[in-house]
Amino acid sequence: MTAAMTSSRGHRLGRAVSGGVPLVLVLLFVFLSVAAPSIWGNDASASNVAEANQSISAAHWMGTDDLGRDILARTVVATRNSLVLAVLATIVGGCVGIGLGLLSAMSRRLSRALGAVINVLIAFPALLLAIFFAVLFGIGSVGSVLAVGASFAPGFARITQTLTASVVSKEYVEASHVLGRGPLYRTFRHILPNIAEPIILYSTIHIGTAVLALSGLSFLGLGVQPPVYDWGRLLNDGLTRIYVTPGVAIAPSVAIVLAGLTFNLAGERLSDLIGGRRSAPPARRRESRPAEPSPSLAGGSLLDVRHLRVSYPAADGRLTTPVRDVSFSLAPKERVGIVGESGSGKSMTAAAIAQLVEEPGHVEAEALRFMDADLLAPDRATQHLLGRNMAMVFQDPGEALNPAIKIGTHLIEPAVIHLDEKKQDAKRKALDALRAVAITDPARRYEQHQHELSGGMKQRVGIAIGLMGEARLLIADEPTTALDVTVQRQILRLIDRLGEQTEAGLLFISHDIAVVSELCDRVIVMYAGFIVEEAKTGSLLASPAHPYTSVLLAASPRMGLDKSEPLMAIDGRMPGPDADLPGCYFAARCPHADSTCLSSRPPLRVLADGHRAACWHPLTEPGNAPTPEGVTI
Amino acid sequence: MNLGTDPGTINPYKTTGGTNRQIFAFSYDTLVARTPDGSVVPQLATSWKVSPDQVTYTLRKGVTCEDGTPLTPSDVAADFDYIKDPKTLSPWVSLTIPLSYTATADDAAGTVTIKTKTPFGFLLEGAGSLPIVCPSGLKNPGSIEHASNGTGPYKVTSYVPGDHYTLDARPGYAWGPNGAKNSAAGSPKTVKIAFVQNESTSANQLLSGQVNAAQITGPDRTRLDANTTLKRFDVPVMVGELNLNEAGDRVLADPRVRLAMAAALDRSQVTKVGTSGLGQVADNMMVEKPVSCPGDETTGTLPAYNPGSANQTLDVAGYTKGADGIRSKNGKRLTVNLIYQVGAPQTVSAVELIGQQLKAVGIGTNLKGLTQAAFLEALYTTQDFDAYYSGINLEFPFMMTAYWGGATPDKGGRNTGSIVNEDFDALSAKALAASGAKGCELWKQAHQALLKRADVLPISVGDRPFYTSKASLQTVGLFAVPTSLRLYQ
Amino acid sequence: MVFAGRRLVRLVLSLLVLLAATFIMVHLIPGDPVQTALGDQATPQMVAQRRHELGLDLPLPEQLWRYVLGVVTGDFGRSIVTEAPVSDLLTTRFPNTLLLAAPAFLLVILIAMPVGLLTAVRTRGGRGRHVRGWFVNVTGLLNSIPDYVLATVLSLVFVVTIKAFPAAGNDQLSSYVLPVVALVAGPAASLSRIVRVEALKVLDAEYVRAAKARRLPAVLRTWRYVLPNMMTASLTYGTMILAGLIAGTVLVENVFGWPGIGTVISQAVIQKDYPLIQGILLVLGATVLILNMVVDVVLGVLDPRSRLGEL
Repeated sequence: MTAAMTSSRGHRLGRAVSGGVPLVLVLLFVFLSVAAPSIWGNDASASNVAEANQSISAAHWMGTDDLGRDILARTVVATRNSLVLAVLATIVGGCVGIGLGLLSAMSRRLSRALGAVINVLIAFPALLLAIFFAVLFGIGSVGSVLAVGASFAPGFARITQTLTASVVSKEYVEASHVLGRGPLYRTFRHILPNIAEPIILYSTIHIGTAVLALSGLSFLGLGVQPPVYDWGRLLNDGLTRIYVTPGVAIAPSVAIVLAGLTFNLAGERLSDLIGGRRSAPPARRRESRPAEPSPSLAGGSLLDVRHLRVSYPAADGRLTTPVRDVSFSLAPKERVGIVGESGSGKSMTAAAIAQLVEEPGHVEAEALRFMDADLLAPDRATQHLLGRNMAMVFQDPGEALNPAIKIGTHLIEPAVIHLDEKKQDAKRKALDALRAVAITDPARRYEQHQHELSGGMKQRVGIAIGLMGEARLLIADEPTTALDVTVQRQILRLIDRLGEQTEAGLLFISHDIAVVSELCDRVIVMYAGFIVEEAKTGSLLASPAHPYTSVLLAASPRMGLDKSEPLMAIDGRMPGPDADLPGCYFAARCPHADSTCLSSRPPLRVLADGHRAACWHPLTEPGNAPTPEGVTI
Repeated sequence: MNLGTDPGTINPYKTTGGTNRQIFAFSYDTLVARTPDGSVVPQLATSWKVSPDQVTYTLRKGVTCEDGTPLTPSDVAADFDYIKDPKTLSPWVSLTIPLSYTATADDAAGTVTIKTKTPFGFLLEGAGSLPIVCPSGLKNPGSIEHASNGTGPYKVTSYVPGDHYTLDARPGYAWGPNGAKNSAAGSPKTVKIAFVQNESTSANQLLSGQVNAAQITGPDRTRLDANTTLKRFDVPVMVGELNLNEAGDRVLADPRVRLAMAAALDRSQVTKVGTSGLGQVADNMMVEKPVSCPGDETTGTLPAYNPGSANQTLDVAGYTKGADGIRSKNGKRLTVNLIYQVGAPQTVSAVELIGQQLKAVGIGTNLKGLTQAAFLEALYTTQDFDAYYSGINLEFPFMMTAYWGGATPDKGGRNTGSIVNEDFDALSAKALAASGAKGCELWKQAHQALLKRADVLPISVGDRPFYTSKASLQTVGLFAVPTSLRLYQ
Repeated sequence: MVFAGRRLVRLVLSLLVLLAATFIMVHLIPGDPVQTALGDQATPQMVAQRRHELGLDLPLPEQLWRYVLGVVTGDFGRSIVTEAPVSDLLTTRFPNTLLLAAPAFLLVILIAMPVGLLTAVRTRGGRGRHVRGWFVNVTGLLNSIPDYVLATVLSLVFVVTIKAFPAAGNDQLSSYVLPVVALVAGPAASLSRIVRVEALKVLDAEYVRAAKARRLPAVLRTWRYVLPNMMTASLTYGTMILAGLIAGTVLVENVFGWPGIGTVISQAVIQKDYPLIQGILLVLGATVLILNMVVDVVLGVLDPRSRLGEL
């Protein structure tokens, strides 16, 4: 009980400090900057030599300085100077640095030269630069602002350069470049707006750093000079007396540390907000398992999935469920495609089968079997079985290869680990695999790294890795989406051909029903974490039963057409993983929906041999199936 | 022993800097020594004969250099000839004998005679304070930049730039002040002079027994004073003094402003702040102990603290207060550029307080903290200041005349404030020739001539004490006497 | 090899830029070093003669040319103030700074890498919110404590009060403890934050998922997939951290009377000791640049992609 309470208090405190508190503190600092000099200004400047150098007392909570002035009052009043100087220094550094960084966006040659200069400067200890500039510009407020600003400039320049480089490479900027717009236009119209957000974040954090840097200069006696004072000067005075009256260093130390921390955390908080880490709305209740018949399973199926459900705890501790209820099986050598728009749960289903759902994700199922392994209770043997017999191809071939190791290493790893092959044998096999996926000069490619390969070639490598084991099942998760149209066809043909040769089963995930139907024996249509329809490819194309399937088919662009067009043109949106509806999840968008659809969930019913759909009003009425009215839930 | 920062060369004839002198005092002797009570005692010279323009020292027998060669009167005379050679440009000329002189040696009689062109009151002490360099060192000055070549009690054995000097006791040394030796019970066999910039660190080392002695001037003194196992040896110095720039159109060219400024200063308050409450208000322009000419010079000459009269003086002089409380005359604001050296926190505070006190009578201040290099540049090159807060510390009054009269820096002098005070010039010329009590009286009058016109505002006398842990020593002037070092358990 | 060669050429160019830059910067500092060195007793003739001896009365380009020639032959000139050869001072002092900075840097890496990685693992995908909260707060706090304040407080507690460690110097092993701690705290905190962010990126990377899909053992995944990629990202920041560490030594050495180069530099700047400042800046800058190059070459081995960014 106590432990639980402590821990929950710990949670709350942790969350509070990183949450709203920094913003409150920022407001407090702003308030003090504006108001403190007029409220406490007199206390802060009233000198009384008789009371000089006192330690902490009732009259002076934080002691007095050597003119007998109250240190607490001075610390509070110094907020304005400290923060104004820090902000100014950040602005100076920001303007110079961002200017330099943007200049490098103007031309490639400039970018090289400036890059070299920035590299030298950034390597240089900022404090040393600051010491120099402080002495150079003269000791005092102006000098220290310029000094700290100048020492910040290289950092700003570097981040601007990096950000700019990534924006410049984006298509719309390239396009505007091609259209003949000048570099200035590009900079202000495209680059600046796109890098503003991270730059503002970086600046916020740097205000805190500036407070620290300015105090460092004051420590060396190179900061602001009397009668002006900031926290750095107060701290410096305090530190020289810290061994005599330790209390006098407390107030300015706390102010500096707090300011540093505040702007640090505020930056972090800002980036959270901008990153849109919003919490999901609460789910009302846990779903009960729908009472619907399990698909009849042919004995000896390769893959067997029954009532699969994948859930994640949301920010508030409740659940979101990207996969709500999925049951299907896959026979050896069979090719099954799963289609659905993004968010339908198709990739998550594949991930659950491949055991890639990570904490805090939670996989539940009545059964989840691959060959003769129970994937719900995997042991070491299961790992080897999966490693040997299940292969996976990912969507983005570039991202799926480790940039730090050679292509060859990727290839031989599974064979060495799961098949206990010797490195030499594995290499021979790897070269064969590369040849098999039609990669020219495999010996050279074997030694290369992923960045040296084209997108299509990377995906071939991805498939070749799958060939290194003794794959019985290949899971391909949108393997062609990230590729050019012509390359897409090649890869599809390759998967098709290799499937024939290796006799492996295929689970092909795609949002493109045309691609799936070209390749697969059977098609599963998913919507909002449910299977809404499942049928032999021919049957599905000829007579879709679920209204969603028919919309999908109607909207499907044929292969070779532009994929960037919207998939469908029906109103409404798919309910998210956090939705919890009593009825059909498609009802809101369905032209055939009635009150039954809204109130009760349609089970996945067998409409014809091998054709199942979850709909109260299927478009093709099955002869031997019960009518919707006959079913009670 | 900890000292502040590495001062650079320890060639005695190249420098007169304080830290430098402390270091080379270990390796070089002088003809005569002064005791803490101000009397002159034998060192290299066992006896002397002095007249107004001539002094003859009789050298001790058996004095040897580090390299074993005996020191002869000719060697000593060569030293005196060396420093006055214009090619040498030694700053020691003005600190020993600020007049033309000749040095003659009589090796047979074992005497050296210095004769000046005109009478000089401090001839015995002045000439007697020159550190004597051995002939091979004099021939090859490069060899003694960071090594020693003298007759002193300790010999430099190693030097790590910026970090420390190590010195070993010379065997058989017996010609310290009044015949002091370096072999007394407790005399250290080896001395390590370490440079530690941060005073708090030095204080920590003293308290933990890591060092035997260190010179501490800042707030750390309080905790060292509170520690009963440590000993303190005072070195009084002028801590705060405002030196003013009276050149051409500077605001302080107007004597009324200077007098008002003097009256506006509450010197006891500034003293309290500038010395962390440990010093006294200065009443004599000479502070170094033993004070050559002690006595109160300020009472009745330097205007006392009286803001009312300061205001009145300025009103009469035509400086009217503006809306912000700062006076101006003919559209020119009465603002004083006050410069100081950054580093010590108490300096900053004192300067700040001065600014407050001046503001109270309508004199504005621009406080400008400068690094050492920039500070000296402002004094000697640009002369871009109205007042500087610092202290001028020297042993004898004659050394100081150049600071408040004579040539300005652009003419090769040290009169940074372009001060022309005819009374001071006349009185100090007379004083230079006089000696003893008569001389002192003249020097006092000369100084008072400065104070009456507020050409300089002495403020506070402080202390730059040596603290020792399991050791003791004696100080004369600004320095610890090497032969007085004693260690004990 | 070609890569390392190109990188070396760039290093030499950078060093030349550094040399010229420090020379110009140093000569812009106000104040006359010779007057400072000779003290206020020095007469203008003395100052002028010394300036002539030191070649300070020559035109700036000629001074620069002489300086470059000197540096190439290992002659950094003599300190104006102490008149000791700058190269002597560098050889006696710089090793001490390295003795402080090197263990500190190593410690920063050894602390930040595991801490950042572990926190990343524990805070993935919005998990461990309170772990993340505490991590961010604690590192933020450590990051916000100026190193000289930490150093002073450490010395107040452990030297003056408890008397557990020596006050100054570097003659015992225990002398290293406090300065290193004071130096390490801040950089270790900021690097662990960077490591956490980079580790999160890597842990969520598709290639790590792909390795998992291939059932590669966790150890292999960590060593071959996570660590190298995390290191490349973090090491890029590592050089910045190192630069910060070296700057930190200036203040920390001051507090602990450490006979390194940091204690010299602030004094040298104040005294405007040109040759000394130039020498120190060159050595510090060169150290950072050389380490940069080493890191780049190491990165090039770890992650061949980074060679593409070559300028």
